[in-house]
Amino acid sequence: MDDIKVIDARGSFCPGPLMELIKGIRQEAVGTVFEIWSSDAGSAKDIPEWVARAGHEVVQNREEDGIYKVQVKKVR
Amino acid sequence: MAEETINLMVLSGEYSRLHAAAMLSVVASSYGKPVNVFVSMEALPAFHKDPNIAGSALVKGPVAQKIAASGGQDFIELFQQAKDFGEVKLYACGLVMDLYHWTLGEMHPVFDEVMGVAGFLAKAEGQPTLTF
Repeated sequence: MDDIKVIDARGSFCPGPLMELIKGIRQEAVGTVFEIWSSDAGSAKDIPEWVARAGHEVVQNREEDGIYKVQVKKVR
Repeated sequence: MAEETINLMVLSGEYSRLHAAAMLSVVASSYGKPVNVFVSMEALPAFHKDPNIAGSALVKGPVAQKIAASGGQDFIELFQQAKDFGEVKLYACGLVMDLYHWTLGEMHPVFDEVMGVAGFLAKAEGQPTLTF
């Protein structure tokens, strides 16, 4: 898990978590895996849409105790 | 293949419409889609630096009040973020600027230039245009 960059966006609402992910993706190298934590269900659904459109990859999308955790790999 | 430009006409002083236009701009720009935003009519005063002018222009319904209270980025910050992400141009309507004798220096610094409707139509011709 050491090479996964966690972005804790709990408490913010759409598009806040997505904005944090985009900023992270712009800053890190290709191959970096992010795990974005969000407390709003809308972001858990919207982030994969952005990831697909932007040409990256959703590695995992799960919910743990009301927190949505979406893993995204930067692939380009 | 180059991304198709998306054009937004932002005419309303409703906070929720301004927020929606800003969200659309920031997400579109994040994956390389150029965005032109023409801000006119009741929307333009909401971009004034004077909080009294901007505040009196804004209309906040129940959803907008919730959004504002959530503590996230406001529409000015989102438009600025959109410009940071990609090719996003904001144009202040010349008519409204002239009516109030405003200069761009009095507006939040998200605008690229003052433009008339003919100029915007020339930019938007043949491309998708959404109105807020």
